[in-house]
Amino acid sequence: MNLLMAVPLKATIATSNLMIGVTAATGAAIFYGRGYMDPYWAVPAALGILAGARIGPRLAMYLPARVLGVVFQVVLVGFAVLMVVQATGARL
Amino acid sequence: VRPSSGNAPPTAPPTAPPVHVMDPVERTIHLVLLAGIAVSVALMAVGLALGVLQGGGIPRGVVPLADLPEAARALTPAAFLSLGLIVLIATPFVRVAGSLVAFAREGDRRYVAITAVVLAVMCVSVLLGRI
Repeated sequence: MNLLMAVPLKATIATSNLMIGVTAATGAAIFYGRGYMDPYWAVPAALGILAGARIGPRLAMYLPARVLGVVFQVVLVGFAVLMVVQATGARL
Repeated sequence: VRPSSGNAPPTAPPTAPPVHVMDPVERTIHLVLLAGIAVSVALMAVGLALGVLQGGGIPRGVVPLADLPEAARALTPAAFLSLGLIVLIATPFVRVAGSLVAFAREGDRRYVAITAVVLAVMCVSVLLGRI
């Protein structure tokens, strides 16, 4: 959205979060119904994400969009590298 | 306010965010999301505390919906953690339903229709996924 449709970065992140939230909740409900959910991973992740979600928007109001963009790209590249490394079978 | 140099007029702080007044739709959604998160975090915190106190740690599976009332009465950590996750999962559903009501009250037909379709798709997905 940011690159192709020229939507401002903060609006892009907010919109994508809304869409991910609605679709992920639907998927999560199905996973729960089938008993695939594991509180051992889900609960700490949920608590951490909720804490981050309280702090993040407050920081985002004061940080310039350029800084957010750079940080976001670094995080995404980091995840991509981790996934490629794990796909090769290496253990971290 | 920063001290201004010379005769330059004092300027507003550069990064002050604009004050936003919430309309009824936003206020409804705000309340729904906040309540859902607060209840969910409280349930998960109780579940974690019970797990630590009873020495069992975090359980490795959720309690099926049918067994949930019994498990909650027995105060098992798994029941509280499962309830917290259920509330967290249900929050977006309630949020969409809440915005449906808020749009309807505003008389915004187009957004009522869009929101109703979104809610219907979500509910149909869950029902289809259980089979």
